Amino acid sequence: MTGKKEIERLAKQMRVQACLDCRKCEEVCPICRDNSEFSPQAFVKLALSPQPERLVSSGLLWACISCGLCRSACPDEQTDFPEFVRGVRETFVKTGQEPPFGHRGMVSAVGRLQASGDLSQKRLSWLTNATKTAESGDVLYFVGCLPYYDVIFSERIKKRLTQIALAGVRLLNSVGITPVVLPNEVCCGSDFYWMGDRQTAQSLFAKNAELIRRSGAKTVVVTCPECGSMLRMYPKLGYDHGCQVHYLADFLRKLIGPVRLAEKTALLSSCRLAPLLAEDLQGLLGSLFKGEVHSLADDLNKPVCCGTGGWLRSDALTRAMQDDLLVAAMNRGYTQLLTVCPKCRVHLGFAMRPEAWRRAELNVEDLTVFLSNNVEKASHGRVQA
Amino acid sequence: MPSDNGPQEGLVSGFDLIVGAANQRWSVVPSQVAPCNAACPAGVNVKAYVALTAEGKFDEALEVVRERIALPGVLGRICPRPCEEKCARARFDGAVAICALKRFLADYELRRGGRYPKRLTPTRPEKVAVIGSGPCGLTAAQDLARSGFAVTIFERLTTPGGMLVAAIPSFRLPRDILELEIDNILQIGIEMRTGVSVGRDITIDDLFGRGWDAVLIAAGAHSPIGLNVQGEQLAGVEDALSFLRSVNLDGKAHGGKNVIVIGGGDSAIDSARTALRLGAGRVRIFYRRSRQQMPARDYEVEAAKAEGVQLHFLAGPRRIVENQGRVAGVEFVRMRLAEPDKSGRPRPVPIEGTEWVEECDMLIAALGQKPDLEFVQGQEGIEVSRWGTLVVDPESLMCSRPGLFAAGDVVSGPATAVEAIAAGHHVAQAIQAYLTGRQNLASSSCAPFLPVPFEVVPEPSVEAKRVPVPERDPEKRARSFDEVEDAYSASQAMQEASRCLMCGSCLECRQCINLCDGRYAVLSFQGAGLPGLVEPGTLIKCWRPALAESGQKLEGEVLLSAQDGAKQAKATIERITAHVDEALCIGCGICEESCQYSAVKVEYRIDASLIATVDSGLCRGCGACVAGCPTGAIDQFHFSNEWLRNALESCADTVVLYCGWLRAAYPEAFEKFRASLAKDACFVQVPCAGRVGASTLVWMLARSVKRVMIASCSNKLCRYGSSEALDRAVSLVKSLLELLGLNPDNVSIVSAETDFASTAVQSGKEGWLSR
Repeated sequence: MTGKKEIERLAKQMRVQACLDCRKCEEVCPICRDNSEFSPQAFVKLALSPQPERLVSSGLLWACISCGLCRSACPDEQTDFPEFVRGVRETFVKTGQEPPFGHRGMVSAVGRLQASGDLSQKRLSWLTNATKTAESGDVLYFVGCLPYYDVIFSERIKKRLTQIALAGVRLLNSVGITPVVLPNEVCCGSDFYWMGDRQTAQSLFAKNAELIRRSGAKTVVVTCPECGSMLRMYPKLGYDHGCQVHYLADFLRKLIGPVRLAEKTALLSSCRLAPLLAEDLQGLLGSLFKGEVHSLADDLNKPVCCGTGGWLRSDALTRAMQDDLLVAAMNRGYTQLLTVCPKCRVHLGFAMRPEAWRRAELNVEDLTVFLSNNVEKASHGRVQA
Repeated sequence: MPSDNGPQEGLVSGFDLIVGAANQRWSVVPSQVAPCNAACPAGVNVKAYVALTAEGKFDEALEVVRERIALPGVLGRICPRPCEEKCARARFDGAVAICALKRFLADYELRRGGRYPKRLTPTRPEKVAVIGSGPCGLTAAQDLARSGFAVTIFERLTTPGGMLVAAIPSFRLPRDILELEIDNILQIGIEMRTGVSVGRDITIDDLFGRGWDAVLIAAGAHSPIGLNVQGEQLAGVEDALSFLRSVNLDGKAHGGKNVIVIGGGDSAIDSARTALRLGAGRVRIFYRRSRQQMPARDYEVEAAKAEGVQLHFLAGPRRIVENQGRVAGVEFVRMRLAEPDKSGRPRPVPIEGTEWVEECDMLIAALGQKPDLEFVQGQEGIEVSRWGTLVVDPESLMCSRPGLFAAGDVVSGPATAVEAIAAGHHVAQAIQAYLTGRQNLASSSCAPFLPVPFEVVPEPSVEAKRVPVPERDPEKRARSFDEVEDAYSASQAMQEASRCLMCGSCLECRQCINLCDGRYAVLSFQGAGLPGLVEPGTLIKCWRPALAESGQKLEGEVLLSAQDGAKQAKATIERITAHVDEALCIGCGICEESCQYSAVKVEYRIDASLIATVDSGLCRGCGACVAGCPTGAIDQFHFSNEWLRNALESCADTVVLYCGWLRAAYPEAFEKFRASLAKDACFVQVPCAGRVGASTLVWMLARSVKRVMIASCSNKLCRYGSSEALDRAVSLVKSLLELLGLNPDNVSIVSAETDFASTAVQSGKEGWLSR
């Protein structure tokens, strides 16, 4: 009963009933495109019906990947559908519902282990002798779960995921920054937060906020937009870390010289990147690259999405989205596709496992890794010259 | 997707069954034997074939019969049916027509094209000679040939079959059926030499001298017991065996017009009915005791009466009346029944002064028979008992000469065909034991069933009379040698078979073996079992398996406990096979790479997207694909992720996941290992430890489990050929634990090879684990 009242309160607060039925959200929603049963409207209707528990049986409760594209499309700026979904999920989790975390709960299990104990992790073995990091300083590089993803996925997708972290540190080093890297950093809590597991999320928030504060950092940089957007929300949620949060490539855009492109390259933006950027995506790409890098979304004139929203979801439907965007990239003659989020990278890696994709002339690379490789080459070249 | 009710526990018919889910476990009550099974001398699993017949599984049912009876069509006609006498339903509305069902099964196969047995090549150097081709000799020859020995049968007559062909009339046992079934036995590669009389053409010494390593005398009992009255040598007086043999083998077409048969056994009845068919106007049987004491089967007596044979009791022959050197009649004396004799039957005593004469032109003496031992007279190792039978050692079944065996009527005196078959199985095991230098396992009994008493007789819920066996009109049939009885139709057979009350516990029909091959269930015998017939750990037992068309599941009812008045429960046991949730599959192909049986393929869907598909025929349920699937799209029927996680939900601290195969192979070593761990460790059996993926291991550790041990088979021993999936999962979890700063040894593999090795090698059991 209390759950019902809470849902009504959330509906008011998030203004989800102010809907004008314009259905602009449905046009951008990656889930609506393939799941005809789901739409923000349908979700709201069921949540406010006399039997909100039908959200569970219908599977709609967990359908939304919280990408937030609907928010940007909605004519009413105050309407916050993802936040409504999150709140509704919380009411269900409180009554014992276990969120269906992706990858059969492996990644979320790691998060829960981090949340529950006082660990001394050994998560920084990817650092090399040539990289410079510090225990305190102005700039903190929040690595995220990359070392764990590396163990879980690298063999499957034939790509070391700690490369992204290494590239991040190298880029920072290349402009003279010695970033703080936390040996006991824990999961940012994004998945738990969006899936309604507030308890786990909060203990992760607390741990990270405390560690960041203690490092004395003024700026946190991330190579994962999900970590970034979550960390930006920390202070609002009561876990102040006292830092500005930036996406690493965006943070460095004025500091690393424009990279010359050898291949026809497109960039796959991620659901949570745009709000993190100082300007818009075009601005970032313009300053990072000499030559044109298209955003695949702009090319297609619609938002594109890897469909997974972190580890919230991975199934035939999200796979279809990934196939769509890989095909679109190929059809436009791109030979290189840059991802901005490690999760997009992992999922495209799985999508490209089958023989047909392995033979395709399309190289998928993380933006940070690409920048690190090419900036280093460029600077190396400069030194030689 | 079928709904799984999750782990279950229950009682099942005498066996320990661990199906699918981690803790689905069916525990043990000692197996009981149904009265029909216990009554069968040959050890036929009667209940099983009756139940399979009721299900319309005729081929399978016939296979069950054939396990113990090589001549199902023959026995289906002439067996004296001790099983029916003991049938629990006999007390209510009549025994199940077990014998008629057996006949139906044999005829059904024949109608659909018969059987083509595979020729076997001897795998052993030893040769066995069998003297006599009756049911005992044929059964022993078949068992020995199946065990790899070269077998030669010597038959004195020109036609094989022993008493079956010599004494049993064709209206009870058509010759084409007999010939065909004997031929089926011979076709597996047994040499038959007919018209060879041992003793005249070749001696037993010769056989041993010419390279036969063992000789079995199964010559039967073909010597008639005389009337012992004056006039026995007269023309028109014959003994029943000679009479029947001359009709059956030599085609003798004439008997008397007015025939008297003396005797009360089966051959008296057969002789009388044969005489009738040869054209006798009057056929009378005189027996010195009363109707109740007649050894002949009731149904045979009734059939004879229906055909017009007259029966006279309490009449003992005094002398034979002569007219011109021929029999003209018999003088009888009235008998009365006195106190029982040694056989337990009342002793007939003549009442002096009551003599009278009955006229006849033919007299058939059917007073029984004994072995004809002339052919072995004076041979080494031959000893004859005071009853005129051969003496053998009761343990080894050997005469005093090593390698010389005897069995069947020649040892026991005249008995039934089914007893001869039993003796054939028994002696075959003894011969095999002798030739291979092993102990004779069959020394105490040839029957495979343990004598666990059957206590509770189930009662029929509805009265249902026996389906009558179709037979020809007595008036017409009495003039013809055509078969008297006809077979049931398929629907009649199913109807009759379904009258079975299913006494005892499980059917032990072993239908499940073909389907499961130990894959969906691990079963271990405790207490009773079927030693020598089945390998522990390979069966599941299920009441009346109505196997689904797909060949996927065993469905039926499980007898929970015979003691409690036969409580039954619905049970469905399906194979553990993988299946794909199309909505979750991302077509990444990891499953295809990890499948060792080529059961999983990633294919294009109609919309050009990729999806994994499982060929459930190829899938063996090892779960390697499930362990590797990143999205949880592949799961297994009857051993789902959900089951496993539900089972593990309550586990804390130390969890031991153990492979069911491992435990079944090394029970002692496993119990030792169990005892070495803390008492509060939580033991969970899984069908294969490789099935437990990294995500489940991490999931456990993220709950209240501190330590996970996985008792598993190594690559070499793994039932499914590779422990790679498990090794991969464990090394992944160890890496994660290391990153987290936790002890990587919190997850460990207890391997069969290292931790169970010494015991494993000693018990020599490593073989059966492998594919």
